[in-house]
Amino acid sequence: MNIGEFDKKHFSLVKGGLTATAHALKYLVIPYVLFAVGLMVLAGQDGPQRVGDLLGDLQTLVLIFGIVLTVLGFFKGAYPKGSYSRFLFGITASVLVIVYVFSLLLDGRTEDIIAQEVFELDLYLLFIRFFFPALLAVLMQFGEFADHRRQFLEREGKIEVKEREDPKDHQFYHDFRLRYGSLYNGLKLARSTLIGFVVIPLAVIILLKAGFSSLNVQEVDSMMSNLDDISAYMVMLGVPMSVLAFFKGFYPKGSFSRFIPAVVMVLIALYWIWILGLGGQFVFDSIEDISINLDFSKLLILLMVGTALWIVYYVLELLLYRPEWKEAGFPSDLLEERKVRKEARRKAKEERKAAKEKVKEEKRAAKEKAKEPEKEASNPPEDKKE
Amino acid sequence: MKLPLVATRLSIVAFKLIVAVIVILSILPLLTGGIGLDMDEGDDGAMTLEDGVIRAQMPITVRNDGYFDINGLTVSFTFKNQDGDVLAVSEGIPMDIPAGEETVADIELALDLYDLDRQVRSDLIFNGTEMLFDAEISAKYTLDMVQLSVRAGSDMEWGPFISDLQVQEWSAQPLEEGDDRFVQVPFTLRAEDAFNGLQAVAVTEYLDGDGYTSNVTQSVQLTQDVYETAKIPLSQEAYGRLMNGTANATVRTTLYVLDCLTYDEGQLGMGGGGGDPIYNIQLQMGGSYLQNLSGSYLIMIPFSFQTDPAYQGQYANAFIEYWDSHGYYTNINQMVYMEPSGWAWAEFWIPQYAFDTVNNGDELIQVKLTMTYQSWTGINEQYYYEPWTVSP
Repeated sequence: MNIGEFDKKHFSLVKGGLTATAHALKYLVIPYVLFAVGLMVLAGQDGPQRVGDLLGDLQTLVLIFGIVLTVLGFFKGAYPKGSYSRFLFGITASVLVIVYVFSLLLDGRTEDIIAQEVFELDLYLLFIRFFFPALLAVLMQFGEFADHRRQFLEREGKIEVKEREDPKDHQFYHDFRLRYGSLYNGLKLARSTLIGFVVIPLAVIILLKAGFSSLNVQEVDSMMSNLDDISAYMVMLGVPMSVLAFFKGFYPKGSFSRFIPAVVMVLIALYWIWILGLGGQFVFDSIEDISINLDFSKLLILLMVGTALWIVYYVLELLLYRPEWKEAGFPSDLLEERKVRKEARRKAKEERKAAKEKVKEEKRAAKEKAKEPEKEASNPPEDKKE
Repeated sequence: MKLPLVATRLSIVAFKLIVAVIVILSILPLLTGGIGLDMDEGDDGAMTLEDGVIRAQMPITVRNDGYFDINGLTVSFTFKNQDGDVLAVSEGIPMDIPAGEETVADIELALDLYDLDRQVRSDLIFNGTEMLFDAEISAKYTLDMVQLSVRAGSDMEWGPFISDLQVQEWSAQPLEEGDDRFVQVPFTLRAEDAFNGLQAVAVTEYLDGDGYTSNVTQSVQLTQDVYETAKIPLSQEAYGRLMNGTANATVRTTLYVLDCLTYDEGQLGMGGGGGDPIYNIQLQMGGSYLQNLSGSYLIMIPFSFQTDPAYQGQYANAFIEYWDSHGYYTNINQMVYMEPSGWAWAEFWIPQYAFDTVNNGDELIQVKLTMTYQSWTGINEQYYYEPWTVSP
């Protein structure tokens, strides 16, 4: 490991402060306030002591882990992307987040108290759902390091700046070259897709099932079995979507390699909506002699049309970004590079404007010059008349 | 981000927001009770019969305080037999209920008796039957994008619409008009309100042991209590046999209603010498009634019988038993004077819960009359849907 990358010359207090603030809000302030509010409500309603004790213990854990994560966040943010120093603090923080969440289970005590006070809820099952996106968050640190390492070394002058690719030799299938991709962007999008399409729906289903089970009513059995089917579909559709989301995020805007998975994702999302919407048919016939049939397929199709509009969006994105991407020499879609490209575009625009102004000035000057002899010809000097 | 992409993204968000608003505006009135159905109690639809169709109308109030019109609100009924086969379908007329309005609509239950096969129809009219029926309420909402249908199944006891057809052969009277000879046989029956005013045909046939037959056909207007007399012409010989007690004659009254029939028959016993001390023992359920005597409850059931001339003027024992469908049982034992045409009342004092069962109940009850005279025993037993009502 290059110890020199921990040097204070790479250190930015402002950036470190910003990341630390974000970490503090996420891991310390918000959870702490939530538990504090819980304790206040409990005190107001003269709630059970064991819940109060639990909330107190959770608050202590939040304080310990929250402070550590805030400090780690500060160091992570302070060092530049692509440096070993940032990578080390980043990966430590993301692993610690998993330990943090696991420790909130308090070795099953949290689950027991929820079961006693509300209903039986398998918190370990919920934790497993959380674990996969958290694992992706760990991998994102690797991704960020790999993506920015070259730029970091280029800035340090340790390697030569990469030459721009010649657009003439580029064919559309070359868009799938791995060197155009950003691991960080891909993992980030895969993670958010996994959360949105698998983890949250499954967590809601786990909560619903726990709630229904606590009712102890036979009539909800068929609904529970429906929820099991939906869970299976959520996994079967959500996991491929997350894989596609990786490639969509991995490749830059304007590439076919981003466009194709994006469109396939939209198509799967349409099917996902259809499945989650029970095909627009809700049938409840668990109560003897009564059946309720709700057909909302038209409304669901309307919702799907709204989602299908994303295809239009990705077509436009391809058309609008492709020339720019080509012009920039097919770079990967990194934030820093985007900033550089944006700055370059701004400068080029200013230069073009300045050149135009200059041309205008010259034209105006030439016109005025041409007018002067004419004036002189129409108004000859008096001495000449004589 | 580029302007066209921003515009597309905003359009998608706006589109989804509109859909979300539509969904919320659809669900909100359902959660807050803005949409509802109210059945007007006390306005129970009376059944009517018209061209073979039994109709019952129930007014319902549909409240739509939602944001969208309710369109095509339809109430329909499907009648099935015990095996689940569809017997008849009654389709309601679709109604539209505009948003913010309350509409009173009549739900019509219509059962076309001619849609039923003859056996089912006959059972329905004369014996009463249990029919399964599905009621379905369907309507479109949210700009016709959501269709809700609620189906409820139930079984329903129907009829009998015509009951207690009884040939009163013990009250039969011979009649001589000049050279013509007749026998007059009364018969009674009861018809439910829905069948009131309907014209039925009654054919009363006479058949004696020598194979002589005669009949009379008459039109009968159905009412709650029908009492008619069939005047059957007889030949001199048949009349003679009837009067000297050697006719061994049977009288059968067949009632034809809506292409269905039922009948009752009895043995004519004029002229005496039948052998049994008592005959034609009949529980007269049509004349039974219920009484509330300031907290004491009484069921009165009349019964009739005829006594052979050889035994008249003596006493027989009458043991009358009563059951209701909820397991209540009582009985009474009384002595009756043996008259030529005897008539007596059985009085049952019953507790309040048994009274509550039968008051306004249309309950199936069972009554058994056992008459004994020395070693002779005669029994008459009837199952009866009681129509008893006591005004408060």
